[in-house]
Amino acid sequence: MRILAICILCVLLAAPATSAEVAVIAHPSVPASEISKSHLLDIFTGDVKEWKNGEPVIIVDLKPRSDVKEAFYDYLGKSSSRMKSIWMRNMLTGEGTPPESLESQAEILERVKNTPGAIGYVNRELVADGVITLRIIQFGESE
Amino acid sequence: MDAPFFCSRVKSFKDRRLAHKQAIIVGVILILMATANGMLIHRMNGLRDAIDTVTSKWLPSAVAVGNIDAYTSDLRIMQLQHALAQEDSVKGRLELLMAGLIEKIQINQDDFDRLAKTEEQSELHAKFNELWDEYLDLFGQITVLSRQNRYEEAVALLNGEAGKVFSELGSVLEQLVGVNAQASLDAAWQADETYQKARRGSLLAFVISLVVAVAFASGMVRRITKPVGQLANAADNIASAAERGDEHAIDVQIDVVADDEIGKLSRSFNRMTGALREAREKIETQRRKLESANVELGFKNRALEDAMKQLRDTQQQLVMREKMASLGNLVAGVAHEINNPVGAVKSAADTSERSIEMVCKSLENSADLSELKESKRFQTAIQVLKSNTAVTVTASDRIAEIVRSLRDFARLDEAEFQKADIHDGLDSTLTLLRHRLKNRIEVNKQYGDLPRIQCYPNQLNQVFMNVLSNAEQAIAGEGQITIETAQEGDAVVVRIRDTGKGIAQDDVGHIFDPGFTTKGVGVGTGLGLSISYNIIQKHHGRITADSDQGSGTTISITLPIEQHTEST
Repeated sequence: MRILAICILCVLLAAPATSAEVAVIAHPSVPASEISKSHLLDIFTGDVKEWKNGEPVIIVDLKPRSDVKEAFYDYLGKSSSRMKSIWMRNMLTGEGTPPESLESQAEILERVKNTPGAIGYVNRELVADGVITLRIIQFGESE
Repeated sequence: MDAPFFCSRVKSFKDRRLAHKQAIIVGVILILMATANGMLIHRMNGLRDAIDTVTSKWLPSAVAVGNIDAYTSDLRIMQLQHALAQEDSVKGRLELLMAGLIEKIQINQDDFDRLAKTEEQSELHAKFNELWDEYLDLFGQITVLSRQNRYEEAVALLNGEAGKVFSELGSVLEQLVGVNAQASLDAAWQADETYQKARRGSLLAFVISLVVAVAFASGMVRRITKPVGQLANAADNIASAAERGDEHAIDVQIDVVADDEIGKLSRSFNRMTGALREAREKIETQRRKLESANVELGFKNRALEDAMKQLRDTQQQLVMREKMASLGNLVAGVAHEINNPVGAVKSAADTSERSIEMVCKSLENSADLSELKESKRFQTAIQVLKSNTAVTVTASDRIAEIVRSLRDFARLDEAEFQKADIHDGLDSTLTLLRHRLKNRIEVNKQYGDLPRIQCYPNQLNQVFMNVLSNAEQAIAGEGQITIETAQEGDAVVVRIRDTGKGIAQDDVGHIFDPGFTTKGVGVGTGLGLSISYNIIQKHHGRITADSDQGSGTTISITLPIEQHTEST
């Protein structure tokens, strides 16, 4: 009984150490406080290229593989390579330019803070001032 | 402890009714077939699953992998062309083509993702996605460089890092193909195995069903046909043995193997033969009884035969005696009758002798004829001679008449029926009896108009003699005898009536019995009328008696005129 209580306690304490949430962040100039899944998908597939106010959408992607990246794309329902194919197609057909892929989440945070109309995703823990959070995605969430 | 009780309650198989047996066996066969079928279907399902696996899992994924392989190779070639192209229009065209290829690759990747995968496949696919991800990044970079006409850098990147990633991609695809092929082969092998098992199973089931069916059929044959045949044969044997007279066929017993209908039939048959054997024994006993009874009868028969013989001898003797008696009577009668005329002739002859002496004396004593004529002695003598001669003539006539009657009476030439006038017979008989009838009894003859009839005259005369003699003897003192004759149709009737003492009512029916007499022991033989009866029978006639005790008796004799030889 006592061992069980200690175990539960440990789990609860350990949880926050590895946050299981993805935060969709954007530049403060983006005219939205939250975003739906389908909107998010349209943006990332390039179907929607402008914000409501006409400002172009600037997508910032994470290059290396990570849990955050996987969770984000799982949520969207497309793998990252699938997304890349779409971007390449768009680029080749002239419909758009593929987003930039940055080497780390910290860089993403920095770029989104400094680029109007930018949108990206990072681990929730890393969210700092200077960006707005449009959505929180749980690891393993798919709806 | 309970097992025996249970067993006795549940009937054993062989004792069930035939219909039950058949139903059970057919049920077993059906279950066997159903089981075999079920197993077969199960195997078929396995087969189908194997085939499904091949067609749904391995085939499409093989296709997808093949496509990806082809498209990625094409893409790489186009990338090179794009980098080396000088004109924008060419670049533009290539870019569109490349977009198309990337789309197709994406589609195939999606297909592959959707298909069910083994762990190995999933691992390889994840690896592929990773590499593809990397390659796309490099692709983006190369395209940008190429657009900027920095083709040396573009080509360097293409051949360098991109080339490395690309060859890694190639090997992953190769592995995927191999895995696919192996998986397909495995599935095909499994399918074949399943098929073989199914085939074997089906064959086995068929053979088992066949064996069971054959066993069933032969079992039925043995159970039904053989006993029935046995019974039929046994019955046939009994029948033909009975015809031959052989008794041992019914000693046969049929084996009762079970308690079903055949068993019942066998038992009934055995009961039947048992009953037949009992009957046979009874018959045997009866037969022996009959045999001994028969033997006894034989003895008795012989005794009877001896007695019969004795009786016949006695009868013959009696008949002989009667004949002798009547003959004696007859002879006495004739002698009596002849006596008188013979005496008359004798005395006439004596007297005539003396008279002739007288005549001779007269002749000697007379000198002449006139003296002779006046001699008294002579005249008397001649007178006596005359009258004596007349008497002699009369008497001789009489004797002749009697002799004729006798001769008529004793006619010896009678082997066949002869036509005769029965009046002659009656008259002859009356003549022979005249001495007894004379003075005492009046004879009334009422003769009708009779034709001659076919008869044995001698025998009929015997009858008349007997009847008339009886009539005479019945009359004590004075009386009458009336003889009536007439023709009635094709017969003649003679009625002889006397006025004698008659016959008692009780005795009338017996007078024709042999040995019956009212005259007392030793006086009469009692055979007269019975012999007369027989003679009339021989003539196919009838003789009857009517009597009133005290007033008289009438004897009626009917004789047919014609004797038909067929009816004798």
